[in-house]
Amino acid sequence: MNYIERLKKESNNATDYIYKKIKLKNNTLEIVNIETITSSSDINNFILKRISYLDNLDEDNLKDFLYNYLPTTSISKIKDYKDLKNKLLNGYTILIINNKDLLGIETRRDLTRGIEKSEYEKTIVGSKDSFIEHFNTNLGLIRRRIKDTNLQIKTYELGKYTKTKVGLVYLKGVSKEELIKKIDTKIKDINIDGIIDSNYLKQYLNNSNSLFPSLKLTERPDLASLSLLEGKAIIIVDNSPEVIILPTFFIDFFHSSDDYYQKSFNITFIRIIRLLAFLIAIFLPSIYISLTTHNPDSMPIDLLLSFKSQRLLVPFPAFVEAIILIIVFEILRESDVRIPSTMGTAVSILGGLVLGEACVSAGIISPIMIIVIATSAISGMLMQSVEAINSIRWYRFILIILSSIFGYFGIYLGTILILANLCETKALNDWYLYPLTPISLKEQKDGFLKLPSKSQKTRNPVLSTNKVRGR
Amino acid sequence: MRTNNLQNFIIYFFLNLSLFLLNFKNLSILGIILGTILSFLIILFLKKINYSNSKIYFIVIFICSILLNTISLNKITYFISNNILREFSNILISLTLILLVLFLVYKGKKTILNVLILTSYFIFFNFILGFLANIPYLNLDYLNLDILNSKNIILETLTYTFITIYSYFLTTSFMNKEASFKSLFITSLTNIIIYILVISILSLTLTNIYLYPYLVIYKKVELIGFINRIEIIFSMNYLFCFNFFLLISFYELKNILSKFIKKEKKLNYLFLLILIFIFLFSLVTISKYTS
Amino acid sequence: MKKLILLIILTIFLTGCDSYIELNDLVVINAIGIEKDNELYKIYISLVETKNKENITKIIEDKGSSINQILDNLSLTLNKKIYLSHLELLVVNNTIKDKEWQEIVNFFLNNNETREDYLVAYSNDLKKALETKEFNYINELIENNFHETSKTIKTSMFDVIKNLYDKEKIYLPYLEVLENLKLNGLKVYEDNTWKDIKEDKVIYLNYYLNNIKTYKYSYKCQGDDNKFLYLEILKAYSKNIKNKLLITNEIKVINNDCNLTNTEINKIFKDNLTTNLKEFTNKQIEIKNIIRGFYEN
Repeated sequence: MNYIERLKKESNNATDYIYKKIKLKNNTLEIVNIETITSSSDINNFILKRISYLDNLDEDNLKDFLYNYLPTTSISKIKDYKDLKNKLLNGYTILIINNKDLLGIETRRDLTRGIEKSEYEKTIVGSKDSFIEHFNTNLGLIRRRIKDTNLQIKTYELGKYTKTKVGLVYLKGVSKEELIKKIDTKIKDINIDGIIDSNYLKQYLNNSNSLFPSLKLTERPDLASLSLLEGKAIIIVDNSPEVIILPTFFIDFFHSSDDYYQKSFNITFIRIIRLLAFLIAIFLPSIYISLTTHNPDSMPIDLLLSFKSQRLLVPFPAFVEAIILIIVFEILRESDVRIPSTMGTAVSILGGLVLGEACVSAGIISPIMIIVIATSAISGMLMQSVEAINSIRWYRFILIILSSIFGYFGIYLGTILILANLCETKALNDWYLYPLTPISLKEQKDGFLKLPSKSQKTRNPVLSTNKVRGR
Repeated sequence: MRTNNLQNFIIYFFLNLSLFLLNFKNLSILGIILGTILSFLIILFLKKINYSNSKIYFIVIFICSILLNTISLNKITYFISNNILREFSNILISLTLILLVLFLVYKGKKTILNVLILTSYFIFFNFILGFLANIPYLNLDYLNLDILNSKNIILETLTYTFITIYSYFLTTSFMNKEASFKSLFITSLTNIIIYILVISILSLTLTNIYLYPYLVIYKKVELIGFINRIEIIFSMNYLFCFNFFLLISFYELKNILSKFIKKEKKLNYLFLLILIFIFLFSLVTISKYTS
Repeated sequence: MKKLILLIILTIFLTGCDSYIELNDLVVINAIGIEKDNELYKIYISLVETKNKENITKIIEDKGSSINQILDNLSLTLNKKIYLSHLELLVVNNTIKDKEWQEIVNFFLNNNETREDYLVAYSNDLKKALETKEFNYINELIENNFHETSKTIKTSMFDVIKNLYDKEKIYLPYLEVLENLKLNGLKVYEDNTWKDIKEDKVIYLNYYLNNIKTYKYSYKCQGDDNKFLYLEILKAYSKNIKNKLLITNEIKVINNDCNLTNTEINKIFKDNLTTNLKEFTNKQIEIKNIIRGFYEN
């Protein structure tokens, strides 16, 4: 059957499929391309213009002739109809010669934006470019930083309808082979409709019950190349500006990429503050509730008396007050993300006035509760990963419920449940909480603290057997 | 699972410490010293016999663990209801502890080990802070040769040997690696140091009066002029410590049961029955707590 | 299996919170005064309330046959829960003897909520002593006196319990109420009797007990009534060995109107100490003074 008729039937005569017929002396040439994803200037300059010089060509094997003649590097011989369809949908121009031979030339149109600053992983020092939705650009940003032939890449095409290009990048000789094999088998087992974004791949790679995220996504190429040098693997997904880093550790959520660009002592201070903020975000409301309801004897007497006078204003118990404030604050935060900037100022004024002044003077909420919930909410936003911020909400909520029933005993129960949840991740490796458990005192130097002796001399022994850097 | 010497030591240390604190009133310094020596000899003797597969060993540990679990559950609930939740009924507290144990035992060995080691950071940090905070209140006049007196030395040595041997066997079967003798001596040394610390802050008479003297020493502390009610933090500390005993002991109970019964459903029901029995039995046992 | 566990957990959550108290339902007691009046216990309680951001104390008194009974009655009349965890002071009278001490100690030890770190004092008029405008006034008075002049002893309930069990002396600061409240020496409880120690002698008792902080010593020059020798004792340590009492002092000379030399100052001070310490011990006393100042030999 005629290729072109078959295409027209399957695409139901879609208007952006363009068909052109050229007649040379003894041969007929048909050119097919999809207008919306190919650049017509490339086709005109490199294909049609050159073919127009061949008016008087008398050639038997036009396919081989054109294969050598056309000035382009990405020309390939196509074997069958399936391949033709594949290449056509990927932005290739197809040359059908005498209804028999097929050639495909890549003339893809650039439908992406330029390289910009990253939106939610901000740093003060260091490079500021970020990944975009184009696969080749992302790979190029990494290749600019790691210039070695050992940087290997394996590509897959996943998704029945989307056929997205997924690439697994790793440094041979540094990362462990078992890790790469594991990821390989997992990706090949994926069998779904379509992959729109790299976040879809998360549940296939690392399905765990924990509320805390078990995979880290990043937008920054410097962080990606740093993790490649440590022995981790990277998965790049077409049409997605976020890149998955495997395997992740719990401590990675407390690190940021510019930790390695500044002095170690200053960075230990910042890391301790991040850890404190994490703990405050989870524990502060529940400690306040258990202090004022079940165990007032752990406060000094001045605090007790001042809390007493503030509780006189409020008609609710502390638990209800906390829940009301948390819900209102979460609504405010969610609206902040979705509302366009033209309406944003009104919302912030409303939030500030309503929550701050009006509630207190109307006698619904005590001012100390606003302080507690606000500090815990703000300190919960210190982490770089959005999923980690979202998981802190659940932890805080569980602890509030338990502490309002049991007091300090509830805080004990809550911590044990949260820790059990954290330790339960069925990760690609068993080392999610390394170096906390299993203990390694050497690796703690780059854990919650950053000591100068660890800096750039040895690698993490879990990730690679090539311990010393620079060999 | 890959084990470390350090992890082994931590598990043994805190198991021993929690059992020691639960039986604080029944022990004295001489008892601890003689107890370590006796247990050292017994362990040396038992190592030459290959005990790990004999049925008698399993039956003995099974019975011991049921008895010890009931008594310790009782003591832990009294500890909580005296210091943290004062108006709560004891039944609810022991019920929540049993539920927590049930929930965590089914998660498996790896999660239990990870949880315990994560909490051990917190406990260790707190103990050192507490030790440093208590130093200004030490009164060396209270230390004289009277502290070496003991009421019933045979009973004390036997309880301490039981404590060390039980924790030794639990750690070896939980970690699949034998606990070393170094850890045995270090933990006994720390127990003696805790005892001496408590006596030198409160005198010997006051330690015999109070039920939980290792908690009362924190009532005297006053840091920076206004932080003076830190005994709650340390009672939470001791709770996390007792947590070691609860999780490991109940997990090993289930482990031993699984060697006799192979089907999983039957095992679960039997384990649940045993837990209910322990819970009810612990409520019934009368404790000698009058002050 | 899992549904069974869920049911049990839900029943726990539905039982309601037994130990839930609102802060406004508590009566925060700052100080207690206990005395016995014709076979009946009389208790004075000083409460703390906040009104318009100020802490006000109020005094309530009640009678009954035992301390437990009185406090239960009080909680019924005030309609709130009696809260003893922030107790700061306990004041007693000379009517408290062995039997009453036993009952007081039993009450406070059996109560889970009390901590025994509060101060204990003695007063002749309990009600007036507790009627102070600021709360914690007496505690600060005792502490300041202890640290600046070493003329009182700070006893907490721990010491009282220990001394009662060991049958040793109990020293309590004496809050004398004539027109105003004033600290005037100590009262000693021993063998069912209360005795007095005057203010000037307390310093030497503190030497014996190794409790000295700082104090000032003045000596009238011989021959001239208007000239004095002022010494400030910066630090003093005393050690009780079998037959001896070793004392070291660090002295700073503030004012030397008599123009005495160092050795003479030394001798005057040593004589003073030895004569006054004889009331408290029979041991041999050895004193070492370190004098700092311009008045060298």
